[in-house]
Amino acid sequence: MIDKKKVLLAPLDPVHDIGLKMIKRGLENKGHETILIPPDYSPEEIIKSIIDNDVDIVLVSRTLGYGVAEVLGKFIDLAEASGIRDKVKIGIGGMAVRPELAAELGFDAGFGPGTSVDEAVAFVEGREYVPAENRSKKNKKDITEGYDYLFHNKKIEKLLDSIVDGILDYVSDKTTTAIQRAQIRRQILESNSESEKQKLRRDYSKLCDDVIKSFYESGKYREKTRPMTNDEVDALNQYVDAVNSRMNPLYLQHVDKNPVVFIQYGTGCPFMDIAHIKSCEAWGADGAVHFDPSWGARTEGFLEGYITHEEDGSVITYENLKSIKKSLLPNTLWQVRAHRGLNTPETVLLAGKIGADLTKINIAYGSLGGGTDPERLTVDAVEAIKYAAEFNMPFDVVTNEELCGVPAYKAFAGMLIVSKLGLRLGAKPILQPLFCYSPEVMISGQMEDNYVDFNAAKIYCLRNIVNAPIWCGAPIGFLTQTEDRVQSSLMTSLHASLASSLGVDGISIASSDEAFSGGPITIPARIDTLRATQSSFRFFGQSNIVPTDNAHKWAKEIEEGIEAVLELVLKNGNFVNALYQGILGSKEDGAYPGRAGRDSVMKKIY
Amino acid sequence: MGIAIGIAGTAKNTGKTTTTSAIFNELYKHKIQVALTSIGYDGEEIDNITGLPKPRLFVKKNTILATAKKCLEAGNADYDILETTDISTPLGKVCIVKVIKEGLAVVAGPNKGSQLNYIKSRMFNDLNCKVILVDGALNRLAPMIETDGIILATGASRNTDIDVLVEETKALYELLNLPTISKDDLQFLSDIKKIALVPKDSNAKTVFLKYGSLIDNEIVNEIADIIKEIDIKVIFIPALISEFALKTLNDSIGNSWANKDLIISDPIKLIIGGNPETMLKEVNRIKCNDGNIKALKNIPLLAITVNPFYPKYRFDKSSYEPGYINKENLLNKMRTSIEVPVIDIKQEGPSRLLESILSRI
Repeated sequence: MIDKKKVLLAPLDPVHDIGLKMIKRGLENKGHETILIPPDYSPEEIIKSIIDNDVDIVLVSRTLGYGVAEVLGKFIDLAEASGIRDKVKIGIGGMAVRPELAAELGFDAGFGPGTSVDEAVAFVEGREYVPAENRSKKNKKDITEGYDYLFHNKKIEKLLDSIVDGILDYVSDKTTTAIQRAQIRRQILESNSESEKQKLRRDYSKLCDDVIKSFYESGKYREKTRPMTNDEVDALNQYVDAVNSRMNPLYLQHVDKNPVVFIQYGTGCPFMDIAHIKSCEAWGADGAVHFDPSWGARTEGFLEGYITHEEDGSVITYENLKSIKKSLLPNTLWQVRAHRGLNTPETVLLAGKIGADLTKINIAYGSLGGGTDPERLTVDAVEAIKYAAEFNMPFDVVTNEELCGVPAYKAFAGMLIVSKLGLRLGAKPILQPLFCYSPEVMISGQMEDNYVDFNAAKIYCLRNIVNAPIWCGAPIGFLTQTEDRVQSSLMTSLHASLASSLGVDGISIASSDEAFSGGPITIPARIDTLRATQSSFRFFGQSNIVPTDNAHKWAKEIEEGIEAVLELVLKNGNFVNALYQGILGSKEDGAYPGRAGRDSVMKKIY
Repeated sequence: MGIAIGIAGTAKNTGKTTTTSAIFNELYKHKIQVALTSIGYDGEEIDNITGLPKPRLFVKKNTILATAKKCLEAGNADYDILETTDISTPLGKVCIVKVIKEGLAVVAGPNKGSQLNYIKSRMFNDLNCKVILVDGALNRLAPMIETDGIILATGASRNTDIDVLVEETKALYELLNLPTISKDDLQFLSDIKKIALVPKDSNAKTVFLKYGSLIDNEIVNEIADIIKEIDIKVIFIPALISEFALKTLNDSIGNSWANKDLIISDPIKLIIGGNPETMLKEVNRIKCNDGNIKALKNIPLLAITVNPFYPKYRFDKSSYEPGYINKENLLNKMRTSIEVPVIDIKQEGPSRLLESILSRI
């Protein structure tokens, strides 16, 4: 049984008392007696009112500004000098109030932004505030859950099956040094013998480029790359522990249909990456995507140890990934990209061994927009998908070749081929259409009126074809953002709500300075888009954005285009040749088959 | 028994923490068992209000602190918790701790006088502390009543006009030096919690009002009405006196102050009720009308530290940046006007301050 209290609600403010009115209702619902005095009372008048009404508790609200801290400190002094301080508890609320400030001003409690009415009621009732269970614990969401990958478009399914047969047949007698390195890496990770590990490292280094070989042979690091010191690693661990101990993440989602939100990191420094991740987690991000360096994608082999470097993208090593994984909140989804480059099997192996939730594989984008040789990536990707299946890591199939100029229907054809390949190999693919202002629509005009219809068309089209999870990327709103952070944040948030309205499962968002940062992106700019997305989800709730009839018309056109491309791929003989010949994205479109790893595929030796 | 010293400020950034740290270091040198608490929040890296960097608090092994539980996790000193008190703050219960590994500390202790009294008694009686430093917060003074003397930190952060600053500090000094009442009167008045009007006629009954504070016209009018009817010798106000109410009382009873005593609980009840210079003016009006003003208790002003720094607000950037006034001018004028040591702690160090403290142990 809780004692009923008499509470004076005092806006020590010329105007504002909204928060107090809300608390008043909450207190009265709990049976407490409240007295709300009007705004603009002097501190002395409030003190007199406290004495006259013989109250138990006073809740003061005040918007903090220049000199106001002194006013509030003086109010507490007046209360003490009046002899009421020992019998009356006094709390302060306001947009700039934090517990530290409340302590400094001499109040018994401080209620800042995001304070719930329940929290203020708990203070009045003298009990510890415990946030409601469902809001205090975030759950890790499996975005593939509930999808059966049933193809509604049987013609497309049949075409895909034939193409996948061709791919599996093509790779069946081929291998690469990347596949062999992944196998050795696995042995290193699973071996308990230091001497065996040393031997395996020697074998591994023989399969690497010179820059990696010299690391294993003479401990030499690539330029601009260095190991983190022990002090740095210790400081990182301390930082993570300290941040996690006080972490109380926001929620971005307002209704169940709101998608999970991923951010992407790759500052080059694992410490800085983790600082970005922790900040994004605090502001509600549900997942983080690891970006590797572009030189790493063109280099055969991985380094070892805690490594930092002065370039974009963070170096993939077992230790770096492990430290990042260790820093994450239990509910944070973590993806390690393996969609391009010369180390895709080993990347997925490391991600799986360390406990990543997701990976990213797409042969079409990786070889047409990501710079990797189509044949090499095809052979490697089949192995990478097998690891993804083994470690039960769903992988998204990104279609960023659209940004090179490849039309959506061609990019989608490539995405569907790799997705079907994934299904055949026992993995769970996630479709990743872009929400962007792509060169295709710039030229053809589908976005002259709005950014809604063509993006909606992509989702309608994919839903017409197959019942599969969809994660819009990457990041959403690409090429609609400018150097103005408010504009960028707004574009991100509107695309996020469009994605939500269309029922997609996940989205990746950029920071508001990502497109124009000219260097490292900043934490405040990350918070911009996270908060904008949260606000947009709150704004739309269960309501929907309604596209025009163009969306369904263009969805049909894209679907027809996909069918035509798949037929061409099949007619052409095999998928790898189709990539070289531009069927899934041509030089005229802006896609060029990558050169990294050209002619490096070997016949298997049995 | 030791001494509890309050480091009070007239505003934020007047140098409270710098003064505290300097005294701390000097006490360490003399190997005197020292304890620290704060009625605010001290030791943070960045000011909670202005966002400017702040001086940090470095504590050595064996120092006793009274600080809120959450503050123990901040900084890098390590502690042995001697007691978790029932004193609640926005940062958790106040703990009495002993430093077992020196380092930076964040201190947010009890913020009410009564709570401070408890902490003081534990530190003196059970933990053998010789000096307790009570760091202030912003312009707050009320809990300082529980100390044995205060060091006043003032400076440009309070006012960038040196003449105004000196006048105000002088007024504070004079108010803190009000005469105290006799022991007999003290016995009679110390337990009274409401405003009391004591008649000259010793057979007449003392009149008690509903309130302990003199804070509005209603109370002033009630006093004035009683004075018209009864010949009063003492007006005792145990709690707060506001500037407006005291001025109205003076306007109302004017010449009737003759041969009457206004007795207040302590000068702090007067100082926090308004602007010190205006308060002093009203006090002098009482004296000019042949009245007296006395306090049950005084708190000696041990010294004044001055700080020429102030956080300058940049309207174009909506942020603060460091600003300074003329230090020499400030020191000279302050020293000429006030008869307690006036010290620039950064330049002179704390040895003169320590003399004032040690002489009282």
